Amino acid sequence: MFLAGCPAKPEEEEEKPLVEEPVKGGSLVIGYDQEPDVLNPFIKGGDMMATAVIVRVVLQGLLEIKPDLSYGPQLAEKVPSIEDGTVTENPFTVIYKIKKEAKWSDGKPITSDDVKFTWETIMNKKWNIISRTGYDKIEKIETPDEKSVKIVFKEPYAPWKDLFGGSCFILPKHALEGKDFNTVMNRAIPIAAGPFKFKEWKSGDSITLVRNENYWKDLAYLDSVTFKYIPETTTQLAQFKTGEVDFIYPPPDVDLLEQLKATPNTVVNVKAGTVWEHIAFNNTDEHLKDARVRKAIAYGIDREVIAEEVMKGQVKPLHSFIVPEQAAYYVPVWEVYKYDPEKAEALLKEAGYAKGTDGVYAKTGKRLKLTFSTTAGNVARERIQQIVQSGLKKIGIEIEIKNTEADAYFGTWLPESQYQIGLWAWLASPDPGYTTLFAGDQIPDKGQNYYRYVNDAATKLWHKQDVTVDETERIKLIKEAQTLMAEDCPFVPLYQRFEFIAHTDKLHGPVNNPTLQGPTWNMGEWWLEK
Amino acid sequence: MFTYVARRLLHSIPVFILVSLIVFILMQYAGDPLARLRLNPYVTPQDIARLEREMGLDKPVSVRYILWLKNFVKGDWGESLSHHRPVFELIVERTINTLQLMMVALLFTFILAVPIGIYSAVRQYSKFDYVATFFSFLGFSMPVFWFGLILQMVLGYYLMKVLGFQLFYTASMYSVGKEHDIINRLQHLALPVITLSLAYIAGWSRYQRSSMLEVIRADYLRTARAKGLKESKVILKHGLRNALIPIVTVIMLDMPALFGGAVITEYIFAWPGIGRLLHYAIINGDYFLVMGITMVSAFLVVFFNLLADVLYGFLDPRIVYE
Repeated sequence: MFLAGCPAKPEEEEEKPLVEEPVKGGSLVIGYDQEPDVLNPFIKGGDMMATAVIVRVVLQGLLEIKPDLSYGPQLAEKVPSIEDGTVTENPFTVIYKIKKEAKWSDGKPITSDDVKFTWETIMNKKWNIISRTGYDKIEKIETPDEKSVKIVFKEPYAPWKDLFGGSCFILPKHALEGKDFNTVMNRAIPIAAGPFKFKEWKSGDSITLVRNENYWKDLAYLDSVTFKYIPETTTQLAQFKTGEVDFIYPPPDVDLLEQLKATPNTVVNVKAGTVWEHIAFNNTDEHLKDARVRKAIAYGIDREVIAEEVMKGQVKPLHSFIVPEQAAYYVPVWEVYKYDPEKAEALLKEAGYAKGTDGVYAKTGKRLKLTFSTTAGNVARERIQQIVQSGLKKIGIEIEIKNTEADAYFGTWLPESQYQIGLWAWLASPDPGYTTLFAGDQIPDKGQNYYRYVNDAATKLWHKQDVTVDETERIKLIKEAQTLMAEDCPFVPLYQRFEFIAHTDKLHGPVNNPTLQGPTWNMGEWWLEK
Repeated sequence: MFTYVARRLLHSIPVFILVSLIVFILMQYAGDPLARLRLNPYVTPQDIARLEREMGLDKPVSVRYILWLKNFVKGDWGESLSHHRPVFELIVERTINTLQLMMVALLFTFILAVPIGIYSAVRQYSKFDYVATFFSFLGFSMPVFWFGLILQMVLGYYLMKVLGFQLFYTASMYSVGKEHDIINRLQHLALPVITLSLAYIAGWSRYQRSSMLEVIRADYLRTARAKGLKESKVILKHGLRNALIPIVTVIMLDMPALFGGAVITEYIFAWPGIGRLLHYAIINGDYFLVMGITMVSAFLVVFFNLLADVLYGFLDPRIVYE
């Protein structure tokens, strides 16, 4: 994991708590660009980061995701494992023990019934649940006693840790049972399990949380936290400078970052984010179906220059579809594709192409002219296109840029593979099971294999890792898949977008968590200097 | 008079239907309510198809339009696709905020623009007239987006540095926890009101100036002066009343903006009004919400046009409606 940005300040921050003791009290105001549609993270509209940053500190899961993308216990006593017998195969079963002291903000204990209720709610066809993936693999949930949960699966399910943990939260049965789940948690969260409770939502303006005085762990230091919704980033900067907001988590923007770094009494924390950009090939295209052409393009793109120019050196090239934060699984397999125009041209010649008089390679009369498309109006992506276009011109490939609006791009162009070379981003998730993106049987509308990439060996690996519960074995399979795929080069990873938080130096405790949950994950430990 | 108003209202029904139809069709090409989910690798195409079904998006446009129209006429405005809340409730909630901003802005504009216009006309080609003309052109051509951000930095941040305390707040309606503090609210209102008023003041004062200039040369003003009336009475009683007719039209045509708000100003100043709600609804393809807001706007346009016509009758007794 790399930490770019302000080297002097984070260090200073580490030293301070040694001298000063955390103090209780104070209200924090966070400026945020997007307001949640609804607060219920399970139903349609609840998939926003804006929802996650709030729900994260009000509700809890059995497990939580740490900054290094590993899982740690939250409501559970520990992470179940094969070694201690809490994970067993045939049938695949996971046993959780909920912490004895864990209780809701109304004093009632958090029980195994709540876990079962959560599963039943997700599976209830009446509710507009976003996704039931994984939960539909569960056969039954047994509750031998108040604090024990036994989850029996129909078949092995490798990303089981993400169920009831990570981006899932345990629901309070006694507060929600019999209510309309499509509406009951949209505007308020009735009960808390985490360090903060929901207080009020002023539509279009702000959401306020207050300390959960009944929290089962150490109480939060802050009295209250208000998320103020400020859509315009420049306004966020003005609000931050005048002190109207104490903390911002704006969309990554290099200019804004520079300005924040120049602002006195400010801590800026930059980090590689979970969104990664890549150049994609349509693997069924008449030119691009040849791996040598795809590789030639990979060698003809200077990814160092792209990272440097587009992201002003805030990021480094990414060498896999797994991000380095997923350390156990990550292999930098795309590292071999270092900028090498000679090798690129050699590969084209090997593939049967010959350079025409116009300097463009051609094969059986067909010039190597490819369209390159992305979402129109995205400045960073358009800059990448220009760099790629001029780079590939040097190795004899003509690129025509043809973009469209994001809706049409993701709604039609990609699912129907109406592109030759594409450019878009994926969100890295803590679990690296990307079967729906890369397996050969996941071409739309089965899955999201927009590359139409088919490699039977890789497909087998992806499906095998889906049902491999043994962690070491699964790591091996995913590493193997990376190696295989880099050899085929169905796309070229570019970089992870950076993300940053900025806050007053009076605030202590924030650690930017590059998961889908955003930087509020440890908000219970934040404190403000008086 | 009553039959006139009733007839005008009846005539507007086809207008409403046409407006709703056009907007409904256009909305099919605006945002996609499921766009975010399509990018999420954990949401399968099957989930997307199921959600489309649950939201009724799989039905053809014509079916959806007729369903919407039928419910709308019955008073059911539908539920917002993104907020999962009744459209009517959302509109009322945000309209209250927008009205606060727009009423203050338009009042401020009226108080400044009319006297500026009158004075410019009475003292045509004076220094004041030139200065007013200069500023109104500046106001006309100033991009709202840029002007608002500059105000935030200059009157928000730098003024605070100079004064040592914050006189004007840079965004939103009130500070956290100071909802009922009138002074705090005014400090938040100042910058968006200035931003909004600038263009209106420029426009309205020019209208007022030119209509006043016309009236000043009229025979009846000369007669009034010949009767020996004081100049102030000549201008304000005989002149102004006649010169107000054109500006009443302009003001009435601007009135629907009271409701529509100003998308850009609300966006920059994080004002939780109807303009921002509409903007968000459009980019997210939330067609129930867009239709609700559009229909209210259409109604207001018709209503204020009618009101302007009725007001002419009061300002000018020669105009009679049968």
